[in-house]
Amino acid sequence: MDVRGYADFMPLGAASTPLRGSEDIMWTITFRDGRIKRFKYPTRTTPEGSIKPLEGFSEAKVADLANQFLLGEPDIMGVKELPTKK
Amino acid sequence: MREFATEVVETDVLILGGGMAGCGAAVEAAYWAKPLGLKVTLVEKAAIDRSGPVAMGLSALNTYMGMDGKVTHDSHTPEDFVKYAANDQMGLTRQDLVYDIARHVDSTVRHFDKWGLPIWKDEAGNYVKSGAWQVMISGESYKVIVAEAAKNAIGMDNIYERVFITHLLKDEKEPDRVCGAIGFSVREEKIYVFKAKATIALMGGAVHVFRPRSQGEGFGRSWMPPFLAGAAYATILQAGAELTQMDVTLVPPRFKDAYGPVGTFFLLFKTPATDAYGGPYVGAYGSETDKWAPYSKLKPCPTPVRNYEMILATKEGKAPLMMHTEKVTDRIKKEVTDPKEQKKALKKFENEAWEDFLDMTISGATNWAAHNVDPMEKPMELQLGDPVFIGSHACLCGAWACGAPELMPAQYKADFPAQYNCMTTVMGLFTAGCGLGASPHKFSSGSHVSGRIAAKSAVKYANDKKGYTPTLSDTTIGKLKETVLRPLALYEEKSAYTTVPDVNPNYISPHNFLFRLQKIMGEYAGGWETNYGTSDKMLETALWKLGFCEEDIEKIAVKNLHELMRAWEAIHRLWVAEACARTRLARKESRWPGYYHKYDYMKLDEGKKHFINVKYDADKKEWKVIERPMIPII
Repeated sequence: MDVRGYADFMPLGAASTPLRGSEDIMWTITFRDGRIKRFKYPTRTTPEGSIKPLEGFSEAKVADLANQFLLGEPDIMGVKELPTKK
Repeated sequence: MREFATEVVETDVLILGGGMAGCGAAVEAAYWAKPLGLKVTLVEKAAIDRSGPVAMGLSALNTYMGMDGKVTHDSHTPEDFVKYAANDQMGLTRQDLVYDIARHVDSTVRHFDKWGLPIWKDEAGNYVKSGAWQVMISGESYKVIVAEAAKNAIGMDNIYERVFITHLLKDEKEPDRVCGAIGFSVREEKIYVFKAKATIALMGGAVHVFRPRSQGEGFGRSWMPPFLAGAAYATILQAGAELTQMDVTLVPPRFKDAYGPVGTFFLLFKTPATDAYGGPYVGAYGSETDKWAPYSKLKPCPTPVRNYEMILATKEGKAPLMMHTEKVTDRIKKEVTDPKEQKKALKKFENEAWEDFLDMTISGATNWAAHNVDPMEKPMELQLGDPVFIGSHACLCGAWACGAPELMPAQYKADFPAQYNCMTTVMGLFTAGCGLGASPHKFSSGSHVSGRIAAKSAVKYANDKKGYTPTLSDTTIGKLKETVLRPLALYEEKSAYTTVPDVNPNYISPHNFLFRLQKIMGEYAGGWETNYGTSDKMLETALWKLGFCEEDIEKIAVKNLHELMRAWEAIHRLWVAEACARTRLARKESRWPGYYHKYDYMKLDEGKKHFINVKYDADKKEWKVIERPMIPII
């Protein structure tokens, strides 16, 4: 793909061009004066489509609807109890 | 006009909006609804992979406590966060709501980590904090990851994308109860009616109510994204619920024009910002800003006061204000003398500086390149943007909502028809994220967890009301359908009247309607045009002119489905504008300098430290302004 900046405030000739893979993204930055910079950054640490948000947690209990814990709490936060107003 | 098909979807928990809060709500609702056999449905006007403010990504999670201590620095408690957020908003917040977000937010971030969001860590595995609350991420795909979790939790069969919600539905037997929503497909000729036991309005904030600074192609260059058009605020208001603090918009200090955020540059890189002559403008106007003590003297200095310093420097002839990224280069060169290490440190800074924009504001990076500015070598200009309604950011607008049972002050209980966390003042209607008022500094992680809190509460409500079935007649649906599609019908009826359909005395285009609205708000209600200032008389004029806009809603005409979406966005923005103008008119002080000044009440007045709420009676067409007390819990 090719891109340019918003025409009503950017001088012509520059571009930020992405090349996105399944775990990182590469950018080619073209300056108006022709300078070029390249960068690469990670985008995710797991395979695309692999997220199972409810897996690994015990099934919700109806009685727990009355308490304040959300999915995975408090263990997932690494604390013993949910803070509350003292 | 061709007949639009009507699809009726019956569900138990209806999530409107698939941004950060909506995606959080989907995961949490799925978890609790499963053993109860309840159905969860999510509706989104775009595609949830890239919708909402995090659409382009984000470079930091701005709200994280680090309660387990596994952070590079700044492990905090919810109490610390409440004090910080309250001070930043000049003392006025719903502390119970802020506390509730703070005590849960770490769990949401831990889920993100598990799902695959690249969170920066040190060698010991601690999260890298940039400031007191911010955790750095490589977040280009942040929204894609969060959306994937939502999709896999409730299933694509229960997600309706490309459906624009125009109205919430009220139960015909119980008129004070919300029982779903109506909207239209932006891709095919189809109306959707969603009937639900519990409805969570999570359609985000509102931009482009005030006039943006760029009026050409960059009209859409706003922060947050321009497609947030106030649907949450407008539909909640129309349903009869109270909105709070609709006067307090965020004026975002940004890299000029491309709106690149400044947080990482200030916090992580410790970049100095100066006036045009190289002098410091931060903290330089004490004789004026001290009038906002005690808040102005607290550390960190509140966002509105920092903004005000930018206005004062500009008025003194010292603009443009500059962010000196090149001075970070100078500092690294001084501090790291070993040539090999210096090269490494400079490369690291360069990578991180560019990533900050490329992960979330790509136009900011392009703007550097277009001006031949390498941030390692040259500074770039800062400016205040246009006022935006973002209840999850450093501002206060949103719905007046019920808090957690053990946190909410008892005095607020009577405001709500039932005690369910995140329920508005109307039965069956919940909100979170940008919709949750007086609860600032949620940002992306806080909005996600806010959606989760609302979702668990909504599932509980739907379960408690298992026997309830919404009552909604075909006649009502028919009338609403006619209202929703009126702009298309009007165009078809009148467009042949003139040779050029764009110029026609019988109707107005959504674009011109929006221009009219933005002109009124910008020039009378405290836009950048007046240096963010307004007054009672200016607001009265604004409301008089907005009244004509309200009448002319019936005169909006559109050619196609895309324009129909633009029409309803403009209508929603009008309701947000009116709520804002009425609240600003009722506020007789200037509490948030740099957000907006009342030029006729120039001072902070601690005697007026209360919430100002508005509500609208759609049957009587009457507005009501309500004062609610500020009750601290800390």
